[in-house]
Amino acid sequence: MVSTEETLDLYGAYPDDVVVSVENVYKIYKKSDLEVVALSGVSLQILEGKIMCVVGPSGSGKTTLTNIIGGITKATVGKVYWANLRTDITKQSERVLTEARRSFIGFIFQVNNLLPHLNAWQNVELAARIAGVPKKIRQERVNRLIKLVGLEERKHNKATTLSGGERSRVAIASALVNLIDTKGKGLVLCDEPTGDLDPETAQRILELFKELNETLGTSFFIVTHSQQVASMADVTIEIRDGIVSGFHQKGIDLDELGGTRIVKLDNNYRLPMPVDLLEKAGNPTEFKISFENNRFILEPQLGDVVDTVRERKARTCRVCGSEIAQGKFICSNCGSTV
Amino acid sequence: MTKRKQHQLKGSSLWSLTYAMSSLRNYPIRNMGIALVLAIGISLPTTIFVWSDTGTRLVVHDYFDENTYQLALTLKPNALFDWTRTQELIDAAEAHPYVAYLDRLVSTVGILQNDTLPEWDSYDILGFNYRDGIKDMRTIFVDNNLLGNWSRDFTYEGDFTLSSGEILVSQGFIDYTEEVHGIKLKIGDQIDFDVIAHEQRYSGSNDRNTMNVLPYENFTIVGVYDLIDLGSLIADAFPSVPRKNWDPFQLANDLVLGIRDSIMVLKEDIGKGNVTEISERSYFNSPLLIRTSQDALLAAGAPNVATNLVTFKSQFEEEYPQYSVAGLTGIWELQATIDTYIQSQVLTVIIFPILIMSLMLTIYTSETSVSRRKGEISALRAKGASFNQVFSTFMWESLMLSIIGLGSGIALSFILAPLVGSTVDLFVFDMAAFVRYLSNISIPLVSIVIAAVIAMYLPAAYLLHVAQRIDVSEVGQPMDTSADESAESGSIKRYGFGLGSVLTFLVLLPIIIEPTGFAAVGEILVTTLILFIASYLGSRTMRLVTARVSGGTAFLLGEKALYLSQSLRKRKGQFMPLLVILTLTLTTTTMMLVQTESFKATLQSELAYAIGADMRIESDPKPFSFNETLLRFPGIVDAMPVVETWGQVSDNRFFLEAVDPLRYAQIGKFSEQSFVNNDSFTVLSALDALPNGIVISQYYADLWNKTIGDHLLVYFGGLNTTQVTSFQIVGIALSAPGFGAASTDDLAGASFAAQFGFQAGQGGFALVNIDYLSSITGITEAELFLVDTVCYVDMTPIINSLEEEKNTHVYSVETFNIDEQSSSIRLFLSGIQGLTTIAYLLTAAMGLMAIALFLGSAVLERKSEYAVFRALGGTQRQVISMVFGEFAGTIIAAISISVILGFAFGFALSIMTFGISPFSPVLNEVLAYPFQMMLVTIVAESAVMIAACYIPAKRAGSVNPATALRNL
Repeated sequence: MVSTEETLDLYGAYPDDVVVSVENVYKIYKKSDLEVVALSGVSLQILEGKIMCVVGPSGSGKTTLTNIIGGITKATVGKVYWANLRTDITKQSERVLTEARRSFIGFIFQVNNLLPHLNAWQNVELAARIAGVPKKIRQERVNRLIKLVGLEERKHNKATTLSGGERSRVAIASALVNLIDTKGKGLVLCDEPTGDLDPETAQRILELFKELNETLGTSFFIVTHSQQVASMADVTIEIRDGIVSGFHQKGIDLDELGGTRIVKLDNNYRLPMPVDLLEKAGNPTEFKISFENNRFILEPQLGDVVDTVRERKARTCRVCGSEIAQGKFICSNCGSTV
Repeated sequence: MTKRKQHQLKGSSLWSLTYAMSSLRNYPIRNMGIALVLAIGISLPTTIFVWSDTGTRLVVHDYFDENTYQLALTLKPNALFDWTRTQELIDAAEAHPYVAYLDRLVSTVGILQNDTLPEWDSYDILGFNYRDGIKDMRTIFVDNNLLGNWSRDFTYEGDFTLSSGEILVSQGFIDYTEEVHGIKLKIGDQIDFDVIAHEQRYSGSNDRNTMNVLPYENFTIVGVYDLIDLGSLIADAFPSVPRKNWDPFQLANDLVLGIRDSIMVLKEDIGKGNVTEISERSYFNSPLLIRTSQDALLAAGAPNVATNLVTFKSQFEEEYPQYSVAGLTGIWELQATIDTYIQSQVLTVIIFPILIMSLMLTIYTSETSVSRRKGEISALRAKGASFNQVFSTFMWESLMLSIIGLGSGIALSFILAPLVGSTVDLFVFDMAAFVRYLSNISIPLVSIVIAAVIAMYLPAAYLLHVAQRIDVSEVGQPMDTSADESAESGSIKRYGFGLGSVLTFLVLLPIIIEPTGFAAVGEILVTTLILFIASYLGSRTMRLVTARVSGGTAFLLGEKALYLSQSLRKRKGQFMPLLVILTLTLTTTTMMLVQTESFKATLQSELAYAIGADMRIESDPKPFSFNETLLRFPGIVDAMPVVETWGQVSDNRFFLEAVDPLRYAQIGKFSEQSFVNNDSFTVLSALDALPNGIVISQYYADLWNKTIGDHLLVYFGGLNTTQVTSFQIVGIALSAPGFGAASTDDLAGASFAAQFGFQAGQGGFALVNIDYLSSITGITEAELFLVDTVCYVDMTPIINSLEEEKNTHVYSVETFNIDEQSSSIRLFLSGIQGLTTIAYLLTAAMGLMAIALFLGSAVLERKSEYAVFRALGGTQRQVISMVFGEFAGTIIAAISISVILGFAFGFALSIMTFGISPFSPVLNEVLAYPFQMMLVTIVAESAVMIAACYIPAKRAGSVNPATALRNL
């Protein structure tokens, strides 16, 4: 049951319309001796009633970011603010997070996560049952959502007998079942929600997102590779190698991201360089920077200026014994890394 | 600044329980499989406890059924009757917790009267009463409670209850009445009788007027009775009076006034005052008969039933010396049977492999089931279920499964225990005994506790495993997870060497450490552990061997060979446990068959040795010349008398068995182990050559520090005197045919010969020359004859002919009835055979369940693989034959290795089983390999298992590629 109370607001610095705020988040996975930096200084804010999309190549950290926002994975460094808790969740216990998550965050995955032995109606109801929502309210909500997602005819069908689109609808309804009465302060995290759907079905699902977003005021955070999805977002963020490499306003074209990209300084005054622009410039690594006529000017430097100060000498490959040229770190003979 | 903060949804505390229940319903086969395998584990020890407890109760029940009373207290002949003291005794007895009820049996002399019969004037209990027309009889005063207690002890016509004015009469009384008065009494007739309430015992008068005579008229006969067992305490309570009834020169006495010459009348018809007077002053004592409470005795501990009853009896004897206390005949036989039941509980150790196998299978299936539900856990977590909620869901599930398993296990043991109790031979049951066990089933508290502890194993395992699984499950995982395993490339040699080492250790174990008592139990447990290790190593070896063989059969199987060989090398996570379980299943079956048959074979060898010859005749003393009579029977080749008398050296008592040594060497079924360091012919020839020669036991030779050639002064029993002679030791014996162990002190438990009744008692025996003993004692009669027959002769007519003579018993291996002659051995053998049978059934069931669970889940996980085969153009038939080939390969691998392991473990465990049996063999154990039976059972088991593979293979064939690949 959702109720509200007046409390002293320690996180008053955040505007009222912020649902989730991610501040300078790092995530480092450790597997035996190997450390993998999945996120590096990511900051963003998800606003109430808005749809935010995340685009980026595979392995760029999109799913990690989603899990950190959803409180499933804890950030190694940084803060994650949830509006319902009005606090940084990285310091909260698993129990508090689980309880807080129930009425605040819904998940939709590409794999749908429906239980095969339950029918559509029961799958939607399950989250409310787990949360302990009283039966009457639960039934009313599930009926409402089933109607909203257009599954009235198929509500008694087992999950395994539903089509891909129908399963997505069930997953959406299920994600919203505890958020529906939160008066807008809810967030749906979607990981490739239309990944395995045909464009037509995907379009219908996206329209449903939009409709729910407008009618319920729920915010959406969507990880996608799809132009179709990204084009309906209020804000799209680009993520590459664990770094937010650009923000885009509405109506983006995934093939022409350079046209709409806005880069933003991170908390340490660092600016991510868009890779497509770097490629255009021949992948320079050093720039001369200046500010003239209200513009920052970056001039690529020919040759490695910084490295000229380093003493260069030829080395021998420890694997095959070939000589490795000065300034190179990969053996041209056997491919070993120095 | 304040802001509105939302309250969180705390979560439903009941959700876990309801979800667990729905989960149990949704996966019925998997869950029932887990519960049933657990049930098998629980049922095994419970079965043994239920069997032994029910069996104990049944034998005690039988004893109490056969003996209405256990104790009889009678005033000693010269003791004076003291009412206060008697009442004190009655009160003490009735207050004793072991006493169920006490009956005081009051009776006196009654005299039959009728209008047509002359009145009597005087009466003498020992007079010629029948001649004088006086038909006297014992008149017993009863009530319907007493008659109810006696109903099992009497056969009767008409009623065995009484109403006022009615009377019961004995058949003997009717017969005597006809003899005396020529009247044939029958039911419905009315009689009059006088009761002599007060005997003028001390005045010496026989005059009717000096006696207190109570006349009773018009009593209707409503029943005619006869006591079944004239040796019972009821018969003893009403002893007959031997009397000449007709004239002083009558040849034999008539037995009158006993229970067979009696009438019964209600106490209330006589009057309470009269009954009291009669009880104090009648012709007969009023004995007190006590029925003890079987429930109270069992509650005090089944092992102590006999001891407690004997102590109870002694208490009365000490406290009331004027009373003689009789009863408790056969109590030690009862105790021996109870003890065998209790000792048979140790058989639990031989079914340990099955118990552990079931627990292993339970945990493996539940673990597999949980790991297959990672996607479900992930979904639940995504839907807001907390760690605790998911965890408690699984814990509830395991708890419910363990409760179902506990209930089913106990229920299963209620079927299995009567099966063990009613086992006649392997796979042969006595239905009547089964029903009897079933209807008297009882379960001791300790076995419920053990069963509950085993049942808790499942939640405990969940606690460890599931917690881990939930923890690693991430949100957003797909529902179907199938791990792809790389093909194993282990070395056959490595596993083969490991297996060889383990088996060598197994075979050497009982040789290095002699398995007796606790050492045997320990060795069986170690062997159980080795069984698991060997099954694992054997399974790995066979998996690789099968894979290699499959790989080399491309000419037969075509492209399927590659798939099979790779598939058999792969998926060790799925197939290894299955292979191990199947190997264990088949090994255990083989092993237990060998074990049982070896016990049976040893039993037969011990029986032949205990009887001692082809035929053994025990009778009343017969002259040695009876030998000649015996030789006249067709088929009897030779015979010899054996004289048995007691012997003593210092404080050590034993028996002297006097034989004709050379004949004994021929007739006796000697073993190489009979004598120390010498064969039987050499030792007995030496005895024959030296008239005063003696063969003593190894135990006494060591005790007295004597050896061959030494002299020994032996006191022994002559005809009526004790004699003493110096004997010279000519041989040392460990045992001898016909007499059992030479010294019972050498044995850990009772010898088989003792169980058959042929063990020389006390401390054992020594062999001497019969001619010598006869010449110095004058003994010319023997009670034992050993007979040699031609091997093909049917001895039954000879036995029947000899047994026609009173007190003559003839024994031979062929005709000896173990069931009747040694219930303890029968019981233990029945226990082993019953357990082997149920072990066979249970392991077969477990094997089938393992196939269903493992292969069913393998097919489920590999749906996409089969779908790809179909999509690539494979027909349904091809997929079925390929999968069936793979699965059947696993079964064949298991069969092959388990036959080898079964033999090795059968050998070791057979030896160890004797270590835990309550009986000690005199000879070496005989190992029996029932090839035919093994072949039949293993072929049957294997056929069923291979056939069972067809079901999952068919399911694999029916995978719809469109559906499977669409949901990939």
